[in-house]
Amino acid sequence: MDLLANLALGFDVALSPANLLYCFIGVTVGTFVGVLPGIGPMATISMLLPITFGLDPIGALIMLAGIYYGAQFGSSVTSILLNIPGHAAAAVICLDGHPMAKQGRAAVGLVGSAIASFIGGSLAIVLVMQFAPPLAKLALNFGPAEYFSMMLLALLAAAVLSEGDLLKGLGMVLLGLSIGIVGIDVNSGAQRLIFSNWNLADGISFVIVAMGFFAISEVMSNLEPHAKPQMIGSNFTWRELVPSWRDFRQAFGSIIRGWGIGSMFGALPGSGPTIASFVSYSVEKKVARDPSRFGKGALEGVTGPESANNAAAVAGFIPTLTLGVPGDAIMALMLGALMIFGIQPGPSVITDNPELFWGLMASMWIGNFLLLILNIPLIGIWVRVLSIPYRILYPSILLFICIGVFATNNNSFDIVLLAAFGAIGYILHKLDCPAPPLLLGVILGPLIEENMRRALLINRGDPMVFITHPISLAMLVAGALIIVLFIVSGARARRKERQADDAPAAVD
Amino acid sequence: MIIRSIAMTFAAAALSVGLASPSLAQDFPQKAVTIVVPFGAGGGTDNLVRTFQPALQEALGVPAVVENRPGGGSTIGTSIVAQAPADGYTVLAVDTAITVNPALYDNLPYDTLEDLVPVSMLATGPVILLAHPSAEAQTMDAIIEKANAEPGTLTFASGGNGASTHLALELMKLVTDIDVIHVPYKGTGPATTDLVGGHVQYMFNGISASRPHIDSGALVPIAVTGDKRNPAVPDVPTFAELGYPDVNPMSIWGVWAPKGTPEDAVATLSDAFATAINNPEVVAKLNELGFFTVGSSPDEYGATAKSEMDKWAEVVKSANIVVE
Repeated sequence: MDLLANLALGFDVALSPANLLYCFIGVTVGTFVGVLPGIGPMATISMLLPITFGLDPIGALIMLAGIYYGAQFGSSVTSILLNIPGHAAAAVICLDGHPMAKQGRAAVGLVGSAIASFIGGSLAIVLVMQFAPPLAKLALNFGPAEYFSMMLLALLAAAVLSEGDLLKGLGMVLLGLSIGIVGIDVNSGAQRLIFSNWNLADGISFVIVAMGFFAISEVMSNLEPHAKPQMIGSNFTWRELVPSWRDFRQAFGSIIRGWGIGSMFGALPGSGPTIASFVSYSVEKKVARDPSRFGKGALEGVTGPESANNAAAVAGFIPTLTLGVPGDAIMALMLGALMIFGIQPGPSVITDNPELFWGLMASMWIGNFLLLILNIPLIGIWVRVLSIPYRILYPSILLFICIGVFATNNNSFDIVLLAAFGAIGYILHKLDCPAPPLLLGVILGPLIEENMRRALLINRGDPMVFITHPISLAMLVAGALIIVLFIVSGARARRKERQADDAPAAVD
Repeated sequence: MIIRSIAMTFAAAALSVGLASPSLAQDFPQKAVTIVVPFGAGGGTDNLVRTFQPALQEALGVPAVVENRPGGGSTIGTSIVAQAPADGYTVLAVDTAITVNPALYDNLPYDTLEDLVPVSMLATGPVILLAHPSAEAQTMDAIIEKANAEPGTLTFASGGNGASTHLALELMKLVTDIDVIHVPYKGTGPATTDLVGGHVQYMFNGISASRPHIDSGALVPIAVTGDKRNPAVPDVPTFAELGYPDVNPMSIWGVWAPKGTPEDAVATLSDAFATAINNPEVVAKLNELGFFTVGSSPDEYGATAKSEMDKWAEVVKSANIVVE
């Protein structure tokens, strides 16, 4: 395959005035969708899908794709500034992004996240261009046993997310797992914890839990009579937007790691940007020389996950385009759109519709570049959002979240659920129970259960399947190592603590 | 909300055309008709409805607004229509789920035949049995033989408990009396992924979703349901040709209105849906996607729906599909 000729074809398609316009519209809409809390790419794309039926298929796909990866770009803005995630994949950005803003480094965080998004996304495009078919083949090797072990590994790796009280962290994971159980069980068809309420039959959406726990409870916290106004300066000089050499060095490794993690989770059908960003955060915390900086405004805690979720959004096109199997619900929507246009997604799409595949790839590059130049100047505007009086800002945010949650399923019951989770989230926040372990339980719990039972079902109940499959075995070994490391480092920390306790006694 | 306002804009344009048309002699319809699709945008039913939506607006002379109300395997959208005013301005477009769900669940929030009336059967869609190339048995006879020789070993994926892809398997099990493992997934998408990866061996699936994998050789077609071969996959034999005429599950799409909707409104709607679905352009597009278009009268659809409900009740009962 002649890459240069293909690229030339791709740019030829993507740079046509109409497609350039679709790309620009897509990424602009995506940015705003990402920034507006609660309104995610899923809701937007399902709303816009019907009106794209009149467009030419390449233009429509370029625009829809632009919304998808554009939304990942903008989603960290409110996480950093307001501690309210733009959408679910950015929930983890709150952990370090918002402390940065409190320290007056909001601009650094925003620029860092824009650059991380750009690098993560652009590198992932290179990966898709060069290696999409072999990567897709590799992804096909992941069966239920492999998924089970991988998700278990992700859950273990994320154990480092829990701060402070181990018991509270564990309790939150269990609560998350229970929330994940709600709905009609995939394997048996049993209705679990739905109390004959059909609105719960499909389970509780992760978006609702994330928005309730992070966004609604944050707004409630700020309503407290003693809530101190946040000390975030809304003035900054443009020079602050240029990252210092030190910042750059600090962030660079995390961006590359984030790209790797994001590309892997994106290429595997069934995972996606949200899991990628959570795993990236855990990895950054694990590899950091001083993990205690995390949660207090560590730049890598923003740039790693940002790079990861953008890479995952781009890599998500690998299984969708080359195998015709959608990686997540949004990709399923796009696949549906392709079929309406009469394009059969699948292994032949690259050879049968080269202008579609390469045009889309080239447009993603252009789109990422547009996003970067669109986002840097916007930072000035976003930061000024903070000078909006809270009595106007917070009701607007609540409104946007309600619109976003409602629009996904056109179901008002989801708003009731959102309010309930907001209240629960607020109470748990007051009790110092950390939200991230709960969110992981909600995302990973159902995946772990579903795949474990499926693997056992296919192998007639033989648990050896998890050990005889090499990829699965490798993941389980890695998981065991994490547990050992956790115990060893815990013991060492306790010994140090004891020594520290002993020291003053000796002086006495 | 946004989608609605966009639709209304188009609607207003269509209305101005519609008012000029002479076919608008009766009282009904005088305003936009809402078609509730109890599934998400981009799914099979949604694609079907949106394909004939322009032709329907022309036939009705008023706008037709598609509203996606997904959730609970069609039960949410269906109960919304069951509770809607019975004036003909809210109808339901739904697939086989409407005839299967009563057999599966005893706590549905509506009673299909008590709360709804049939309007028109829109289309049917055959399902196709697929095998992964690594599976030993690659013909119907070989599958039956293998399943009898080693009961409970062959694996069949489906789009979920009670999904049409699952019930097709149960019907085949009932007819051929074989014992195989059913592996349910959350939708046919992930099930197809695992079939292409060879983690499961067989699966019933819709035609349009299967074609790219058949064309690329990733999956092997065994047989297709339907009375005649499907133009979308002309080389694949029907189950009847292979000697299994009773393995004939079809997906059926149809339109329902709330019980109590005036008869003349139902008749007007039925005619309009039949005209729209049989528009030559619509037919060509839908055939390409693997649908056979129908466009029946309310009575014909009612009779089909009743016999389908009885058939699935029997299949669900004999398969002992667990539901609370």
